[in-house]
Amino acid sequence: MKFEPLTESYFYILLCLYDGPNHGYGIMQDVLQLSDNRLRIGSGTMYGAVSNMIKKGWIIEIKGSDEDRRKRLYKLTDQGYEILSNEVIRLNELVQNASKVMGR
Amino acid sequence: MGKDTRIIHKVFTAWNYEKEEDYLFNQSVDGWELLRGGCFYSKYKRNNEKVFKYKVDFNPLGKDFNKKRLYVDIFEDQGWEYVNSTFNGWHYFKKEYNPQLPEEEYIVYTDRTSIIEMRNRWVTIARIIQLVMLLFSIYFLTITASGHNPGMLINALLYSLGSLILLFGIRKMRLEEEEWSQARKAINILSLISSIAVIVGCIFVNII
Repeated sequence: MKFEPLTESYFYILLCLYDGPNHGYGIMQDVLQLSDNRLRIGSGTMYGAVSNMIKKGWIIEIKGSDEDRRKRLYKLTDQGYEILSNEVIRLNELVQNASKVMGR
Repeated sequence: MGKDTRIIHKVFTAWNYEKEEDYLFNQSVDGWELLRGGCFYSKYKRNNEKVFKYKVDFNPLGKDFNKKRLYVDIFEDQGWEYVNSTFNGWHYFKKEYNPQLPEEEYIVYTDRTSIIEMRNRWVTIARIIQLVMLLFSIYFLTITASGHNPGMLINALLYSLGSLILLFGIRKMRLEEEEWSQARKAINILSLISSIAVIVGCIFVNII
């Protein structure tokens, strides 16, 4: 499998599913909080990312519990987990190499 | 009735979709809430209580009901209300305007990649139609020139004009800072030259 760098939006959506299933609004809120209000994922961007990642098999939609049956819940698949882990390794490498060159 | 709804005939081209959003917002400020949006006409009802911001989004989802449901659900998640869709893949959404909220509340494409994807969805379809129009115009010009049917001249003219307008639209729809690939540049230039050549050809055939 070939890994390509993820966009920030894709990365954060996957990250916000790491701890367990989450719904669209929850993801948006978590991303906002994690990024200190810097990154907001709008509906158009969210739909593009979610539908694409479902197609790629990185996330799946699951049935919610009774209270939020109406909300769609998304869950990370094994493949999605692998994509996310590999991206974190890649990002770490970038930062380490930057530190080496910039001498910090 | 009568004074509570109205229809406005106004053509909005795809590449001016952001201007259309501003226009719909201004209508709402004036007390006219959108009931149905469209490329050629739009329908409004009186609403002096609430002001809405609008989003016009291009996403041909086909006939797949589940896809459309997911799409609308994700917009509703963030407070957008679905208004309607057109036959050719444009969707209208509204959200009540609150000047206290940050502008970002009303942005649906929040990164470059996704806005380019959205615009390119339209560009891909427009490109196919533009090339088909160009082929038609050449075809109609050749049958006119070979003396079969002089009445086809107007068809040749209309299709080459259509191709030119779409070429212009495709240029407008691509983000300015986005690079054109060599192949795309070549298609653009060839299309431009051929469309103009057909128009010149039409004039020439008409004179002799």
